[in-house]
Amino acid sequence: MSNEPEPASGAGPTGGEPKQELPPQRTKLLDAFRDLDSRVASMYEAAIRMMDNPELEDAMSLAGHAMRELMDRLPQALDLPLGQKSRLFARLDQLQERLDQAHATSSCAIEDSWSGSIDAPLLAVIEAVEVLIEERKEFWPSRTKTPAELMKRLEPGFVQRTEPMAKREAKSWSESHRYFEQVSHHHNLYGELETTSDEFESRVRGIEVLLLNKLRPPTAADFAEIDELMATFEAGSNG
Amino acid sequence: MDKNEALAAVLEKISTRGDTYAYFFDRLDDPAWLVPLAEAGFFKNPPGIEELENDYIRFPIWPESRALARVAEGAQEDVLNLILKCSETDNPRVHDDFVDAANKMSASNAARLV
Repeated sequence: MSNEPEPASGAGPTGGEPKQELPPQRTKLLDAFRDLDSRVASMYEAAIRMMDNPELEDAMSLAGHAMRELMDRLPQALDLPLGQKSRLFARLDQLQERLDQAHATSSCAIEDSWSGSIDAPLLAVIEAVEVLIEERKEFWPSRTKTPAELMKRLEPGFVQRTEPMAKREAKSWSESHRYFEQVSHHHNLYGELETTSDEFESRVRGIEVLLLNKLRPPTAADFAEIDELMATFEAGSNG
Repeated sequence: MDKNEALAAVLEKISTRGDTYAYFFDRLDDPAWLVPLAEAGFFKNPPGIEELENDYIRFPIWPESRALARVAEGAQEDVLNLILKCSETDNPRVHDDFVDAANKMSASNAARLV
C-alpha cells in the first residue's frame, strides 16, 4: 500500500489546487446537466470555474466560449432535430448531378451562362433546388427557430405558455448566445462590444436561472408563492 | 407589497414555465384580475390545433379561456368583451370554454357570442 496521501476530495483536474466549492444553485444546475448530458455538464463547469478564477488571463473570453458551446450543445442533448447532414449531402449530390447534366444537355447552357426557355434538364435542376429548400425547412431548423424549439423542449410540464411569452424567452436566449459568441471572439477587446465583468456575470446568471427553472423546477415553492401573490393582489383590489 | 407589485411579481412568475402559467390561471376565480391581465396581453391569442408527428393532432388546453369561463357569471361584460376581441381559433377546447362562459351569462349577453 502506498504511503502517499490520497488526493483530497474535490481536488482540481491537475491534482493541484482543490476545486472551490460551488454555491448550492450552481451545484444543483451542474447535477441537472450531469443527468442530461456529461458534455454539457463539463462545458458548464469549465465556464464557471474559468469565470471565477481571478488568475486566469482572458477568463471572460474563455468562459464565454464555454457558455456558447453549452448553449449550442443543449439542443442535441435534448434530442432536438438539428439537421441530418447525410441527407443534406445526398440532396447536394443530386443537385450537382442534375446541374452537370443540364450543363451538358440543356439547350439553355451557353458556356458559363444560361439563356432561353426552360427545358427538361434545367427544369430538373429547379425541381432539385425546390426539394432542397423544402427539406431545409423540415430537417434543418433556422437559427431563430432552434431557440424556440429548445425552450419548448425544456418545458417541464405539458402545458405550453402563450406564444409571446415563449418568444420573449427565445429572443433573450438568442441575445445571450450572440453576446457569448462576441465575447469568445474577443469583440470586447477590439472595442466592437462594450461590456463589463458585471454584465458577463449577469448574462451567465440569466442563463443559469432559466435552465435551473426548467431542469429542476421548484414547483411547490412557486405554487405557494403564486397563491400568496394572488391573495395580496385580490386583497388590494377588493378593499 | 401592494397589489401592483403583486401583479408584477405574478406576471414574472408565470412567464417562466408552463406549469406556473397553468397553475395561476387554474386558480384564478376573482374578476379583479381580468383587466390588468388583458392589459398585459393575455386573453388574446388562443392556441390552435397542433399537428404532431405521424398525422396525430392535439387540441391544447388554454388555461386563459378556462379562467374566463370560471369568472363569467360575476363579470359578464368583461368576459364577453374579452372573448369578442380574442383571435379566431380552430381549437375545440377553447370553443368549449367559451360555450361554458356563455352558459353562465344572461341570454342577451350569451346571444352576442353567437
